[in-house]
Amino acid sequence: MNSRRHSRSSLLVDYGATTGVKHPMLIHGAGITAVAAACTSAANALTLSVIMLLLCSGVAMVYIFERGEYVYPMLGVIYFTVSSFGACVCATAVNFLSPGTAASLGMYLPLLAADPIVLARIQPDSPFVSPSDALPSAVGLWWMFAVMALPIGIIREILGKGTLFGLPLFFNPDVGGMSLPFAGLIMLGFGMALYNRNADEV
Amino acid sequence: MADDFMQSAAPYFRQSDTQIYSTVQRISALCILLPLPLIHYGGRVILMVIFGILTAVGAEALWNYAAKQKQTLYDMTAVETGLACALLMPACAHYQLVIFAAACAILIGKMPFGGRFRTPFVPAAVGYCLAAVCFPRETFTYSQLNENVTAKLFAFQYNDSLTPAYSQLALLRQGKDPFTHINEYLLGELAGPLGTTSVVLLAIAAIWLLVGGNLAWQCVVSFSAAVAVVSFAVPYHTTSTFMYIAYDLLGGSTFFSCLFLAAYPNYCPKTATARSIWGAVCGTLAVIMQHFAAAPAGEAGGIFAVLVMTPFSDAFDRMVWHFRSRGISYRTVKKSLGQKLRYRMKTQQERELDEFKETQ
Repeated sequence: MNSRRHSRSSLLVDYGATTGVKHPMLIHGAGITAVAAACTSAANALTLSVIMLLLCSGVAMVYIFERGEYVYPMLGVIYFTVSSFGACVCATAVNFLSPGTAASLGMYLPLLAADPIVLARIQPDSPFVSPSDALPSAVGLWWMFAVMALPIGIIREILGKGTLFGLPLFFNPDVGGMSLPFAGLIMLGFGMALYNRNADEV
Repeated sequence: MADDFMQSAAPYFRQSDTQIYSTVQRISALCILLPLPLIHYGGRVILMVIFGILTAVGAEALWNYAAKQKQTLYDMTAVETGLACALLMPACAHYQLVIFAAACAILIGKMPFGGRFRTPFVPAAVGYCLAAVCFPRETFTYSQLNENVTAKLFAFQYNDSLTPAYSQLALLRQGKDPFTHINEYLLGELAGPLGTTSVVLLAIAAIWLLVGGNLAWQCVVSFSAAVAVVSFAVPYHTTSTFMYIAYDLLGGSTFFSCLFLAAYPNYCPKTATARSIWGAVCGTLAVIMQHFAAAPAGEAGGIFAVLVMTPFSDAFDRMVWHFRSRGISYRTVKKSLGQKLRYRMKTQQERELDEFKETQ
């Protein structure tokens, strides 16, 4: 697979378009925040997963149009714009179908637009994927997000509120700190550790 | 064999005592804090300690088993962590709280970072802070002294029938004067965590650690001085000047965190100058948290301050080394100031004589 090669561009455009790529910690922090802070319940995690699926698919469509052969100076800006627009549309649709669901995610919903999974196409080392593989690749990225977000949301809701998708369970540990971001970050860390352990064994 | 050695970053320090000896001494220092709580609250204290130690040991054994690593229980750091977690809990706390704190200390604060002394945090501080954030009501509600807590020896649920007592810091934050007598500080007749209320026992433990070389006394001195200075600068208006310094330093778990968490030689900076600076910053942060932070950080400012500052202990060492490499150190500054002072105190004739000698 060939990595994307960026064309040379003016300093201003380069800085504006690829700031996120040049500062991966910032982008990854924005992506992690959506999981750590917003996935406090199973419903939130499911909503985020659905929106992420729509976003990944939308970005994949842009990629198909772009074909990976045309390297725009404003590549990063295009993807950011598409993902932001997509996040807005998805949130509106979700709120229309289930009023209050998107609102419960608060300010963390727009951060999905800057999720590194959504912006994987503009990474300098992103693999070249043919247009026919772009959508399955997007679904694969979504699946990676859902595998992490859904268990975190379910566990935090069970331990924090004693409910699952709003339905009360037979026990309620009432661990107050589960709704705080640190619990999501700790669970993310353990999830990544488990993944790395299994990957090493394979 | 290759797993036994890990290259760590400079600077390197050598200690004559073995690590196990140091840990055993610290465990004995923690045990020094047990007699008065046993007198005040009965046999429940022993059960809490046992639960804490068993949970910490079990958690570490389970982690090593799951990670397919050799067991590290022989170093007894898990015992120390479990004991410290138990001593930081109120006497009326249900056992799940102690188990939760000890388990979090090991499974989140210690083993994920690689085990003993590779973690940037003191594990007991991690466990306590997580317990305080997740269960603030249970962690900061204390029972009245000599209340029949022993009757709830096997109580696993928080008992709402207990008459709650508030710590000095909690009363001060509510705008009230605790009216604490010095005798209450000496004999531990206060509302607070098990091992943190008696100044006499804490002082004995400090001397025991100091004699054994397991106490970074520079941290203790600078921490206490910083607490005193900042308390004086930011007073509580409900009590007299001397007492709010005592409340800030001796109330709650501040002094315990100073002795057993901040002055932990394996986690604090290694150079004396860095320890002094780091301890002062810890003390300042502790008082600021106690005065201005929301609960639970405000109730246990000392422990949260140590938790925040421990990862930066190496940075303070490197800062000191950076200045020493450029000729700026405590000794050089002291020597320079001494020379200037001696020069100023000399008479004009003596100065001229010195200059004449230099030209010769």
